[in-house]
Amino acid sequence: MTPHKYVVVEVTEACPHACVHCYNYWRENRASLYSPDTLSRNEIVGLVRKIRKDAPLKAVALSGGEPLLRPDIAGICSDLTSDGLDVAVITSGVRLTPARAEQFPPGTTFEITLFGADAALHDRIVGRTGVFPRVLNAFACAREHDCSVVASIVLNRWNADYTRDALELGIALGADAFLLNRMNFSRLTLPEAARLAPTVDQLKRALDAADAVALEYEAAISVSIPIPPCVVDPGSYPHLHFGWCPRGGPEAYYTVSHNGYLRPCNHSSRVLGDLREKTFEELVNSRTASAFWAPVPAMCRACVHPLRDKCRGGCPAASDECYGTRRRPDPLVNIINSDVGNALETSDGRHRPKRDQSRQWKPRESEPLRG
Amino acid sequence: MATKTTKRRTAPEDMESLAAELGVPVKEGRVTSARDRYFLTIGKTKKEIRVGEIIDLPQIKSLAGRRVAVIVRGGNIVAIGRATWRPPIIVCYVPAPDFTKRIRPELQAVILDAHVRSGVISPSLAKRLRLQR
Repeated sequence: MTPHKYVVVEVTEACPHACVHCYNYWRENRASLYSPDTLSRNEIVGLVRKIRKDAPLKAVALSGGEPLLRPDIAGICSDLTSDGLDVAVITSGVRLTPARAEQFPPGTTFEITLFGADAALHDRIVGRTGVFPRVLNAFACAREHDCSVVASIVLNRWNADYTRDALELGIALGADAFLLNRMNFSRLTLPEAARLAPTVDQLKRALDAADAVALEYEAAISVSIPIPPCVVDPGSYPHLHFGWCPRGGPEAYYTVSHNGYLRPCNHSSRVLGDLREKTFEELVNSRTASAFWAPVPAMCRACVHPLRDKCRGGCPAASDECYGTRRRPDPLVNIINSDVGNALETSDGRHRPKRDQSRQWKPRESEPLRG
Repeated sequence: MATKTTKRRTAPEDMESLAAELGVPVKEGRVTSARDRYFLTIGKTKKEIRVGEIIDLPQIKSLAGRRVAVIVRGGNIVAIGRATWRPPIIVCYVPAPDFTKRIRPELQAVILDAHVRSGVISPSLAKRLRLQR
């Protein structure tokens, strides 16, 4: 048995949006909604049941892409709920209507992205117009059908200074809790760091605002993408919950791709193997998985911060995606603590090609791991 | 499917103590209505609720379409009450299921009104949101 309680299933790679901070490695090479590779409802439920034979699963997050593009998504939720699992649907919300919300089992959690309290700002980040009112409607739809709602705010340079507005709007909409994640980096978003990454001062202001909201409204706000303490010290924000990479431990959220491949987490493009062919336990206990979680960047070993053992260099998947190694700290450290030019360097010291060439990059499968 | 009932206990505050008394768990289900008949769905099982036996008509009407707390014993519905709030799970990215707490309704009402006044939330949407509190 493995100790894992959570798993993420990417039910589709398709998505109607073009969020500026999207890190999904397939972002520019998506499988369509009806791709033959995409798992069917029965296959998804079957794979989750297969994982449960090896792990005491409590909850499944259905992600994408946009999971609500699938007409059978409510059925998948019902099947998993009937199996005694908690289910969260990670969605932009735009496809959630009263009729569709009715199809979901009561108690389903919807994590709905909310990037600001201003329609133009939200739609600019999403990359589509007319989205904002539909997002607000999604909150009402979920609440009307006794589903829980988590407002998911992703901080970037454009919206970080409006954090309080977004949180207060979420409260008005009846959100039960908040995710306040700074944008994370991948090969696709790293070249955009100069334009999109929040500055240290912005991050501090955003966390100050969130801490005040958490205190004032007794709101549950989770800063879940790790912010290394060398960038901003979480100790200054006592009313926020800070998350750290579980690094393969019981809280890890191994991720099932749309085609049944298992990955270490939803940020990583590394494939541990095909879950349809091997057991969850085999893949999670494989040398590939162990090697993925093991490295701690050399510069972090000398860290004396009390949170050192939780941080361990921030998000290893982001380092792996951006630099091809987990022996470097989270790209945020480089982006924020030095100039953006350094962040754009590859691990061999050469400057990374600009966006046009990075678009040609394809997900890696079963590559030997460096480091 | 007809439903036998054994007790008339519907007050939500009784649910936990009644469940403990009977040695059964409080389950979650959903009440639906069709042609003046009311049904309870728990997982994949759907049963008709005999109105007047375990719950009165005004009470069941108020629960229709909602998630409810249910006590079932020996295949019989013993009690139905309004489900208590359950913290949502947060899985993306680091699970934080145990720290959530609900915003107080009176605080939400104040801030909802402020957003209606500023035009961010339409009055019709606000009306729907108020009904959920």
